[in-house]
Amino acid sequence: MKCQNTLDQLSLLLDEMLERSDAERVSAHLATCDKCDREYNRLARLREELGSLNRVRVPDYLRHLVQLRLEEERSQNLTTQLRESLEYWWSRIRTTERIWYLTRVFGMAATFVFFFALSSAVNPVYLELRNQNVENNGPSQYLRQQLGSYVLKNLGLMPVEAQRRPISPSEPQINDLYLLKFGESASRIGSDDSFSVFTVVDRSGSAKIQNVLEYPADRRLLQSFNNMISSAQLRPASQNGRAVDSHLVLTFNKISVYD
Amino acid sequence: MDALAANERMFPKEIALEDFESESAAFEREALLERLRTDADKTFDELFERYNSMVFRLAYRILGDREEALDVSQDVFFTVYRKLHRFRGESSLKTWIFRIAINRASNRCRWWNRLRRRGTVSLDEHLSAGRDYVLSQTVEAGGNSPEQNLLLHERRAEIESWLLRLPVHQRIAVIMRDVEGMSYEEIAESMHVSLGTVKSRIARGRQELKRHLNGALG
Repeated sequence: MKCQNTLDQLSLLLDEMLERSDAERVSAHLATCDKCDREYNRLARLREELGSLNRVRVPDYLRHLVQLRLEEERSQNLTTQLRESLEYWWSRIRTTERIWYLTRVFGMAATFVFFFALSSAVNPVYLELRNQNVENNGPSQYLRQQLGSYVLKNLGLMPVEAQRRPISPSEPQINDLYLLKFGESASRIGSDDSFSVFTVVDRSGSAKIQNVLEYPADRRLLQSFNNMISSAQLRPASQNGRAVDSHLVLTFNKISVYD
Repeated sequence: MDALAANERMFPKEIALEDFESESAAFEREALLERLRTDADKTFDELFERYNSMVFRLAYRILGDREEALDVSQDVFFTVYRKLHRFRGESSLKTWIFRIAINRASNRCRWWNRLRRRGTVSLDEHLSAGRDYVLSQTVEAGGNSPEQNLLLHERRAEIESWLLRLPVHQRIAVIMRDVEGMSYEEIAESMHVSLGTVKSRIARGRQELKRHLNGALG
């Protein structure tokens, strides 16, 4: 066996990586060749020297450095995950046709709700709980009706005329009969006269004189008017379909006509 | 004797041992994957305890600089933590970690070499800084006299110096084999090369070192 071939295989022989037959052949050559044997011993010595290089002390703070980096990673991880998930969902929305249309529908619905809430804030919802219908149909059904009409009204789908509360025949109100009776009582006094009063009409429709702005010459005329108006039932003023208190300034002029 | 011979024929020693080793490795791998699924943080701590010194030593021997080795080791374990959930057990965990360490250290080496080519940094200064650390950190407090210690350190410094002058792939193969005592198969798996390539790199690396260190080896 040639020395050059042996030298090439000394490293493998040292690590016992040669086939048995090759190892026997190289070993036999080493036994007869001092030069190759010396090279083998040097190689073994080199390996021994290299083996002693593993005595390197690991710095204690390596663990601390790794921990610090991991903590930093964990703290950034939450924001990173959130950003990544948002980007993921946004990309899915953009690339999936069905989700895109669903998103548009959802956006339209959200816009509708927003403007409805805005208009409700401008014109608050007034629901009349004290109503006869409440007793008959139950409060929930009545509320639904009220809310439905309110929504239509806010959206401009219900005409203004329909928004007014209908006047039922049974509902008392001031009418020609009252005026006739008052006129008859006033005409008995044969002189011209006039007065002005400040009247309060509450939600129930009953009126009373709060203040007299101009007194008549004949006080009986005012007394008679007071009796009439306190016994009469007026239609209350309404705001957004709801009865509210109101004030009236009434001026009465009596003119006697002589034949 | 007949019974023993019959037993050996039925259960050849080599085959039985190989089977046992492969089954044992597979069992260990399965157990590890199960632990990874249940408690990744704890598994990572165990891995760090087991491999931190090997990874640091490998990085230090490849780069020859303590701070660089620390930085690379830190980076290696950070990568291990991030990719641990992707580990599927195709290779052993040890070689997987070493592969990461080799890649990181090789990249750092290439970076240093680029700087050196540009003349930004002197490699000799860089290496001598590393050797100072070796002398200070690897002092053996054995019964050697100061003169013996000095000689020992000088010889080691010379070996380290020539080791750092080997081509990177040969250096890595020699370090893994002779310093860390890893098997050829483990080295091949870690370096992602064939067994023949590993044999060749180790033989050439040793030959080169032996050529330069003839005086020191006697």
